[in-house]
Amino acid sequence: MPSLFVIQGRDQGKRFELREGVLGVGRDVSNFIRLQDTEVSRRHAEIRQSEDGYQWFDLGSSNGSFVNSVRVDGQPLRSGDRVQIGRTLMIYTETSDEKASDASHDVDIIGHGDSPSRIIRSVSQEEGSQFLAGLESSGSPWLARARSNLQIMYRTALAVSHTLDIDQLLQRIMELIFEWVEADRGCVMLIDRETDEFVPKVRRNRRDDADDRIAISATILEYVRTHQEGVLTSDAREDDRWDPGASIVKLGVREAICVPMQGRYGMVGVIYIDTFTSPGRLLQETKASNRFSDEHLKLMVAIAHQAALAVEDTSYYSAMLQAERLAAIGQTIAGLSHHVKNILQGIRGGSFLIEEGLKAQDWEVTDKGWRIVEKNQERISALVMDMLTFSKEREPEMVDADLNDVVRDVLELLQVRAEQAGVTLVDARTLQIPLMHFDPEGLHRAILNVVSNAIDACEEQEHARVEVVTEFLADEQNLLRILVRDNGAGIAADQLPRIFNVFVSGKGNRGTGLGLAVSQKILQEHNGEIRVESEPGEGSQFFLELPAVRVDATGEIADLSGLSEGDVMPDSDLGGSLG
Amino acid sequence: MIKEDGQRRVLIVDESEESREVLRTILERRGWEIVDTAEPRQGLTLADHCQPDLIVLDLETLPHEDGSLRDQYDRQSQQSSTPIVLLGTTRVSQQRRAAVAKPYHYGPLVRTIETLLRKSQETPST
Repeated sequence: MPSLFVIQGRDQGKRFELREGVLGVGRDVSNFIRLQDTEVSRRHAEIRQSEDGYQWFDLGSSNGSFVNSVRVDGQPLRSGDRVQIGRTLMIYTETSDEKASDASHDVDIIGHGDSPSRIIRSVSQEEGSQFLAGLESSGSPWLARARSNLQIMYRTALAVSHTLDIDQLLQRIMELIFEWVEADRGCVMLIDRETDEFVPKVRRNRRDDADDRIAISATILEYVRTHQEGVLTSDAREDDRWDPGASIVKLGVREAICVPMQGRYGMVGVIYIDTFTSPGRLLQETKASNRFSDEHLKLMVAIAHQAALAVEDTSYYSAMLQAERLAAIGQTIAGLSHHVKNILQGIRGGSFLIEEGLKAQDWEVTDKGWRIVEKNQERISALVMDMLTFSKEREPEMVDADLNDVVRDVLELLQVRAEQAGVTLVDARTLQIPLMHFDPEGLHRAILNVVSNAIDACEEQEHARVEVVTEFLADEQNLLRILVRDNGAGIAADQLPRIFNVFVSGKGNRGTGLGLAVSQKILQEHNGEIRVESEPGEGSQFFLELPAVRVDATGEIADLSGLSEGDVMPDSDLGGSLG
Repeated sequence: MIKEDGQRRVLIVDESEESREVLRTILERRGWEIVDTAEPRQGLTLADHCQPDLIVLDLETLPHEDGSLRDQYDRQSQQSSTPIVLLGTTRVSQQRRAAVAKPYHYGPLVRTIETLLRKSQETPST
């Protein structure tokens, strides 16, 4: 389905899926695409569907419509087009399912056996950045410079790809520029989308003593912004582009480079560097230093373009993230309120019975009501505990503890419930597991959730049973394992990947959809994992596994296996399978 | 079909055992016989066999994707002129019908049930 996605402006993050017919765009509520941008007209434009797609028609708006930066009255939209009205920038995309499937016909991935290819050399991402460093710049200064420039570009590209944090990225780019050109001062300024003004993001001064503020000439900024091209000023006093009264001449700037950060969708800011001499010394010096060249200017333009692309990607990315976050919050609230509503219903039922029993002095009814209220109190308590565990508030408290004790507590706690449900709870703990380092309270919760799910899962089976096994695998796996096995209904294969997701409950109204998500989080906090194997009709097995960590004689925490991530296991036969 | 035993009956279809228990206790104390189930399909069979004077149906108990069960309950209630109380909705379109949004209070729910029963007694079905 074709859509318009707002990547800049007050409606950032909104996606409008286009429907059939004539669709209005503007500030008025009657529009299909309603924007909160004050520079957009009430009825700004229309999108009309024609035989070969959608067309944009401006309805004589005061500020006009721009498709790919060109003002248009009527224009067919192509996938990837940028539509700008007022301060709102939208991207038009068509779903490209057909093209994608076409490509899959043309590309085959050949199996290992059939492929005649042989890998003769591989290069890691990090090594790639060194690809010019090893070469000797033999003689030719031009070649040496070209190599160094190419390397600057490569490092810029790497910096751009490695971070989504704009401030960090711009800082890095400024450092790269300073390594390569003898500038005294530099700064990056981004254009604020709300105010349309330059906002300094990064500033840098080569001399540490300099606490002086960088004064940047408005003349240069205006020039770069209006002409959208980079400028190099050799000596502002002699440059005839500047009128002698202009700000650039008065600031003591000898040479300056200012380039636009030109992205796909327009200019996002500028990068500025200069050489600086205090106004007093400037008068004394007669010879220009000429530290900046045309080549510097060209390369700066290229670097600024890379930086601009990254800035745009980040704002696009954060717009999408924002949209996803809002959707997730909505889902969370819906899930929680549904559950709280059910608990409230239970409490109302219980209190009604209590009231009724009290009035009629029928203690049996009062008692029944009381039990229902208590049960729902427990449900709230469990819900709150799960919510706390799931939020970041609770830090796991790692202490030495006996896994068997934790499991015994869980079994005791659930014994009554299992009996009521007609489920036999089988205690199959391994005798004697040494004390280990883990968070007993957290693990208690994790195991409790899995075992109570298992009880619910086989409630209606004949000979329903839930077996809980503990194991310490002291071999090279070095694991603590809790195995929970039930002979219940099992989980359908297509449901299996989803069961650990938050607010996915297999128990309908009874489940919060938090239980397994919480168990998984706790196991992950222990660097462990939770796995499930299930056969519909046969039952399910949950494996809760965590690395066995124990305190050795010296009081040091020791991972018994001595293996850490990335280590290759000794004496294993894995080596052979790679060849 | 005329009921043989003359007993006034209410059928409760609700997946929550707790809700059924509360409602059963309340209504039994008021002299009604209660038939209840967590299974909506079984509910339809019970509606056929037990000839209830009123049905309480929890809509959240019906599978989401399947509208046909809801239709079957509608037909059942119309054919036998059995009033029906729908839990978990606010919309109500026909006579002999009441809707109670969740979470509900039991006092008003019980009054709604009693009103509907009284009305259906005043205008007996043919």
